[in-house]
Amino acid sequence: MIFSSEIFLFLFLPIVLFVYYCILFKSRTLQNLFLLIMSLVFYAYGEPWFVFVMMLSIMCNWAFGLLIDKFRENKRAAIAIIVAMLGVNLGILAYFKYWMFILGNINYFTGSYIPIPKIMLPIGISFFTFQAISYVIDIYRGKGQAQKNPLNVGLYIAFFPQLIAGPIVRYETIADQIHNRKSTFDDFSDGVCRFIVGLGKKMLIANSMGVVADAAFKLPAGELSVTMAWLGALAYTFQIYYDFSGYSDMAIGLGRMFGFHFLENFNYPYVSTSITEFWRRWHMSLSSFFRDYVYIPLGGNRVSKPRLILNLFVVWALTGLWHGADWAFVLWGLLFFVFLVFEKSVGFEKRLTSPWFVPLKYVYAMLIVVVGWVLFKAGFDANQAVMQGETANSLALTGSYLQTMFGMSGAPLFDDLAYFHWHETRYFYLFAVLFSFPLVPWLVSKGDQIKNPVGQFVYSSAYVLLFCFVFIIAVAYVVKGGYNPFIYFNF
Amino acid sequence: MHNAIKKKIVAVAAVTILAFQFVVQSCSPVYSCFSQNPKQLFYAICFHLKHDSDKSFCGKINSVVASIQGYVSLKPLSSAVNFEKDVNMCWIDVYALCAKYQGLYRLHHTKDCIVRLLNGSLSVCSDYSDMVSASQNLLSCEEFLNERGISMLYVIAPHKNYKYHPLTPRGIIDYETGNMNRLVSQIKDRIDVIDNRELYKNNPEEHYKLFYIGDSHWKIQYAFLAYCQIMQYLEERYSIEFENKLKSIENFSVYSSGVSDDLSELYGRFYLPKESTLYLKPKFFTNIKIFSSNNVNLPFIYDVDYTGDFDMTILCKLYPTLKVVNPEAVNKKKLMVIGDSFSPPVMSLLCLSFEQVEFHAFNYYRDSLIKNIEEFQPDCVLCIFSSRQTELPIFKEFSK
Repeated sequence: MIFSSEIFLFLFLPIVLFVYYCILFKSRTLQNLFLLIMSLVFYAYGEPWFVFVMMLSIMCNWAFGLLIDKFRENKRAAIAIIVAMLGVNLGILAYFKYWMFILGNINYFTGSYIPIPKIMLPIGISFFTFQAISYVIDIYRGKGQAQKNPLNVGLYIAFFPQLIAGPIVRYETIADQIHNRKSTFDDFSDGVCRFIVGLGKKMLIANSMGVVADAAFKLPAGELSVTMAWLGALAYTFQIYYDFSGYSDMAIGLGRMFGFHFLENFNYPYVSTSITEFWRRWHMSLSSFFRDYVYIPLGGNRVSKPRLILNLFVVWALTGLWHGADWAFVLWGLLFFVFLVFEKSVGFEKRLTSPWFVPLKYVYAMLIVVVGWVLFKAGFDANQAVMQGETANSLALTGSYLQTMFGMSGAPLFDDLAYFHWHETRYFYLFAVLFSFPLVPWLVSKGDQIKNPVGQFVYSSAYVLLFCFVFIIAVAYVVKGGYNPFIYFNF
Repeated sequence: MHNAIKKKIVAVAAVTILAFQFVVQSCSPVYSCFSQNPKQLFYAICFHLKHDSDKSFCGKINSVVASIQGYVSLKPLSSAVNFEKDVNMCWIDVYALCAKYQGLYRLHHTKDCIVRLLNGSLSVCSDYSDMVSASQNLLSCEEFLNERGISMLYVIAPHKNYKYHPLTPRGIIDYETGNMNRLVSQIKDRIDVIDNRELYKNNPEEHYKLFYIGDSHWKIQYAFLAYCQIMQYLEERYSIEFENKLKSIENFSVYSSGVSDDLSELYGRFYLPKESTLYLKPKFFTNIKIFSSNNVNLPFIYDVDYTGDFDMTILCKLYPTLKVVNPEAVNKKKLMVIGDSFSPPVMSLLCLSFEQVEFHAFNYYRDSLIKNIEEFQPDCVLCIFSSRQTELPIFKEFSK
């Protein structure tokens, strides 16, 4: 089930809210149990059999949590438990997500013909596996108590708002909230508003951009014009941001409706003037996870320079691989590794501080990001093709697409298709660009400063009407149906 | 006003909308099922359980669900607007208004997308198809019929976006003409084709006038022309008599009933004005008998037994299968018509010329065509469909 569907909006969510607040309001334990059951229903609606994989993961990690709590003082035993926990979690992930990729590469590099089984990927497996790892490691680090009741572990791992598309909620963030959260109307209304923002981002901007991106990337190299290639690349750049951040907003909003406070996942990444800044603002729950659970345990930056580069290499190769089982994703991660190392070594952020350099730095950062998304999209399409039993060469696709973008393929500058897609989505491009900047927080802060009662009334009415307007239009797009992709199937 | 208060107002508004929609959505399937005859729903479920190939428990459950869904969605064929669509109509209206004010050309991002043509009417733009599957299925059927001495004829159901004067917006590629040309070139050596796309070669405006603005189908006047073309062809080729009184539309009165909006209904009441569906009524005496073919297992039980005047409103409903007997017809021959939603108006006119006409609809027919042909023994089989039918699964059994 996805948030931007009729079944979720008009059936699942009303039922969950009604039962949670009107029937079970007296008992936190029953509320938690109900949320867990509904989370399993939410997952099983689209993945009826894989819900057992998730339940297995929950039970294993509950047991690991108890064991690590018991043997925390015994370092050897604790490390053995951590290794076993990583073996189980990463083993499950490796089998479902990477086994086909591994066998394909063995066949390719050795010339062997090992049959490749078709393994379906449980949706959200990367998210819930990382949360499970976070659960055990945070207990080991003393940042949270082990849960005696497996249902609470289940709720942490399977809680439906963050289950299929994140953010990766660390155990230390909500360990206390499982039992001691407060559900207030302030929180609830905050959550609703946040959900509306997310739904609007997803349905109105991301999906509209997705149509252009898909149209551009599915065209054979010879039929793509330079303008269409740029429109497609920019469309995908906006699609992935608004889709992903929209889902995160909806997840954070839903969590807030039930009294949970998740950490932010995006902070206007497209205002960045360096790759380092981009990754401080993009998918923050993932980058902080890799920082705290991989980079720092490897030694962080308090090591020799070659070791530092190696640590960064490992982290960014893993970051790429986390996004999907294809070399394009690995290359995508390593692209950022190269530029991060470059920025670190030249002290990029500390130099060129004059405001005159900001546009230049912005263009540099966005160019790398857009090129990165072309690589990412090629990997994404290749993954989709493999799932459908087809073959695809993501690197060749990236190469030809980038050649067209930079006018090196002899493609025409402009064509009718580019005109058509620009005509159909011009307003959404405008909104996508505008809302990439912190325009709304700025407007809200300005509005809050209005002292004149008439001005305040106008501002307040506009605020309420705008939210209602976005909600109604977004729901209309949901009901209308059609193009509404779920782009996290390979995460 | 404090931010928290504003957010509370938004939250109350949003929750109210969701709660209202929840009530309406949950009521709609129940209403759709039980506002009609529950006995028919029971028959529909029995049919699916009996005929669906998947005998597993899950398969049976799916069958029941499919039959309910099918029942709910097929039933409204008899009414202009389906209840479920009415339920969501306010949302669709909102979307349509957005689309209208953005000036969108493409309105639906499916494989075959709905496009607003340059003259403002809606049309379906087809994706590319090599049409090999369709032609192979059609040729297998022809081979089967040929062995039994039955002739076969294919009548092209014309596309609104005219072959000789397409009004496709810049940047949209409509592969329909190419698909149809490919199909015709693959079958023309063995199957006779009546290509009515040539009718308005020099006067494309007339072509567009003979289509509904918000519907993909032809108006009855265009169907009448196709009927005349078919009859002239049969007259020349098989000495079938084409009565003079049937040659002129002047011998019919045109009347309207219901609404034709298969495309615009997806975009709500504000997008395009509604257009009434047009029908013909003969000005001369008729006496026909319509019934659901006894040897066909109907997936849905339609109450179609009828004797009396020729009534196009009944005949043009897209029944899965239908048999019409006209004792007054001059041609004591049997004709079988197999087609998509373009075919009922032509089929209903053909009933005036043939003693027996049996009709099978492409998408709703569930029984064996081979069995039916063997039992009915038609003199001629007529296929009428558009190039959107790229697979023709109804003919698959002939290639086994």
